[in-house]
Formats: sequence, structure tokens, C-alpha cells
Amino acid sequence: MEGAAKLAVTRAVAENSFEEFVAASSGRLFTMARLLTGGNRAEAEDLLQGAYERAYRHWGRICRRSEPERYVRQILVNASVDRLRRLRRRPEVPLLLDLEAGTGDSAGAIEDRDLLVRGLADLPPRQRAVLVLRYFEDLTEAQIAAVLGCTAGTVKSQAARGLARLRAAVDTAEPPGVGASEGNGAR
Amino acid sequence: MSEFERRLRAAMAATAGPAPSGLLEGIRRRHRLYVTRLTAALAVTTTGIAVAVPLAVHGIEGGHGTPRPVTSGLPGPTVPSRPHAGPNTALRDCQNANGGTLSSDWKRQSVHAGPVWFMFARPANGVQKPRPSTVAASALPIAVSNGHTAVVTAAPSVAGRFRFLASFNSANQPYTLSEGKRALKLVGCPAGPTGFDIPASYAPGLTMWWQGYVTNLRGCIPLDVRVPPATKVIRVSLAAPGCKT
Repeated sequence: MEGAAKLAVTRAVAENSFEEFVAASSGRLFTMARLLTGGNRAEAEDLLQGAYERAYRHWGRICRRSEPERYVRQILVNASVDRLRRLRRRPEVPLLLDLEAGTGDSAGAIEDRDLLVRGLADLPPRQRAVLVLRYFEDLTEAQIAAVLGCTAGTVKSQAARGLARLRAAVDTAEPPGVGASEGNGAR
Repeated sequence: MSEFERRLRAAMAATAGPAPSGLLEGIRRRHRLYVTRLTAALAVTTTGIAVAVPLAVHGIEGGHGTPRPVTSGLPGPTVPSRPHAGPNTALRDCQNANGGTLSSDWKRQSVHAGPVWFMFARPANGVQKPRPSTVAASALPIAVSNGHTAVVTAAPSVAGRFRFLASFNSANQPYTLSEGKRALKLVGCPAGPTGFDIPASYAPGLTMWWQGYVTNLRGCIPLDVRVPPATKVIRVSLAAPGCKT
């Protein structure tokens, strides 16, 4: 499915059509925006619109690149980090995600995901961005470093700290339902 | 990859959902806003440049004795076009005049030549004293009656040893004679009613400037004042160390 999406994006680029590019990439980028904003749908939509709009300004140049989605993704990540820094003194209240894709799962699995995504929302902006790029976008450390404008070593340390913090947050707030249905020992 | 990382990956993948409806419309709306803001910013910048360039040119050409607060960036409709300075001439006019209060008896201590007042420059006062160095820079307040124009030059005998500075910041600054102008053209503000009960310390009816000069003269500084269209020359002598006139 991911390969199909990438193929669609490449085709859109070939046709030099911004609308097609948006249609092909917006689902995935919107999900990423939601993860970066801690599940805040309105914030995610705002971030995504801003990133696409900036791409639209230079679309003639961007569409000639092999991966315009990478450009938009970079704008999105940097904008989210900037936004979170601005909001640093006003802590966010993570919202419950509307996990449409998980409706067929058990209640325990949904709660587990919700807990993880809530924990993700509590991370500092760069740690959050690193984890999203690593586990949602499947980028390598070098690719993440390129997006964030830092070294691969920094990405590595940020990922390790982010994971440790997230694990601690999840462990302290583990919902009893999850442990009952899936077993704590598995984790 | 650990179990925890797998759970995290699954949790992130599970958040996938469709893009919000109306995304393209939102992008277009945002872009229109951007274009509007950009256009407005360009208009403001263009206006700013249009105002700033004449002001800067005005400052470079005319200079300012003492920096004057600018109360408005936009020249008012009543500001007349600048008079022509002429070659090797520093221009002082209504636009770069300096305000300020004087001591009430300033006239007694000043040198008067037709409509021109060299303030506190009476030799007996010796207020304006250039530093005892080879070339010294100093400044004095000069005023001209409103509605009048006068041209001041050094007397021919000392013409090569005295220059008016287009701008003057500090006597400590190492000015040279070659930086100055041979002549100074004073153009007063338009003549008009000066109002009642204006104290003498405000020099009513006069346009005043803080004028820098540089000289290597010791003693009195002889200056010639011409009030066009008359060709008559009024010679005055300004205070300087050693001036006993």
C-alpha cells in the first residue's frame, strides 16, 4: 500500500499537478501531522495546509525534484518543532485520537495505542519528530538527520531518550485492561 | 527492533486516516492570503523606500549640524522644493534647521550681518574656540531671518584656511579642510507671522542651524556675507583664540 502511494506520488510529479500530488500524499502526511501535534486534528490540518501552501509557492521548482513529498515533509516537521517550541510555556493537553483504523481491534489494543500516542505527545518536539520519522516514516538515522538539520548521532541520542521516556510514561500509566488481555510479560 | 518499538510502530500506523476534506481549498485560501500579505508588504516597502530615499539624499546633500528628531516620515504638502546650493557650497534651509532655546541676551553676544546672525560669535565673548591644533573643527549656531537668503564665505585672504562642514558630529572628529565647502548658503523658512509673546530666547522670526566648520586659522575668522540679489558684501569677524578685535 505504501509502495502504491509512492508510485502515485511519482506519477503526480510527472504530471506536474499539484492537486494530484496533494491527493496522493495528503493522507499519509496528515497522519504524520497528527502524530507530530499530539493528535490534535485542527493543529495537524493547519500545519499540513501551511506546508502544502509553502510548497505551492515554489511548485514549479519543487515538482521537478524526484521527491517533492520529502520537501513537504521537511516543512511539516520543522514547522511542528517550531510550533511546539512556541507552545513550550503552555503545555498541551493531549487529545484522544479518533482511531478509525483500529475499530476492528480489541479494546485493549486501542487503549494501548492511545496510551503510546498520548505518551508521544508528551515528548519534547525534537524527540517526538525523531520517533515519528523513524517509526512512522521508516526513515534511516541519516535521512532523519537531513530532515532535522542535525547529525546522525544527535538523531540516535534523541531517539534513545525519546523511547526511554515514552516507555517510562507508558509503564507508569499502563491501563489494566491491556495487561489483562495481552499480558504484561510480553512487553 | 524491540517489542516496544513494534508496538509504537503499530500505534502510529493505526492512526492513519483519510486527509481532511477541503484541504485543497484551505491551501488555496491560505495562498491567497499569502499573496495579499506579500503585496501589502511590497507596497509598504515601496512606500518606505520612496520616502526614505529623498530623506537620505536630503541628509547627505544638506547634512545636519545636530541630529534633529524626525516627527513625520512624509514630507507635508507645504514643504517647498529645495533651493539649489551651487558649487562647493553647503546648503542650510528650512528643512534642516535646528530648533532650540538661547539665552535671552543672545543678540548682545552675537555677530549681526544683515539678516544673518552668527550666534555667540562676538569676539569679546570668545565662546567659539577651536582647539589649538593644526586643523580644528568646531561649530556655532547661525541664524537667518525668515524669508531671507544669504551666502557666507570666508574672506578672500583666508579662503584656503576655512571651510564649512556639510555635517558636523563632534569637534573630536578629525575633519580636514578638504572635506569642507567654501561657501554656505542659508535659506530661511518662509516669512510669516511669528505669533505673540514669543520669548527672545526662541529667536522668533529666525531660522537657525548648528553649523560646523573647520579651520587652521589662529585669531579672528573673517567671513563675508552676501544677501542676494544685492552684491554688497558684509564682512564680519568671528571669535577664535587670539582674536582681539
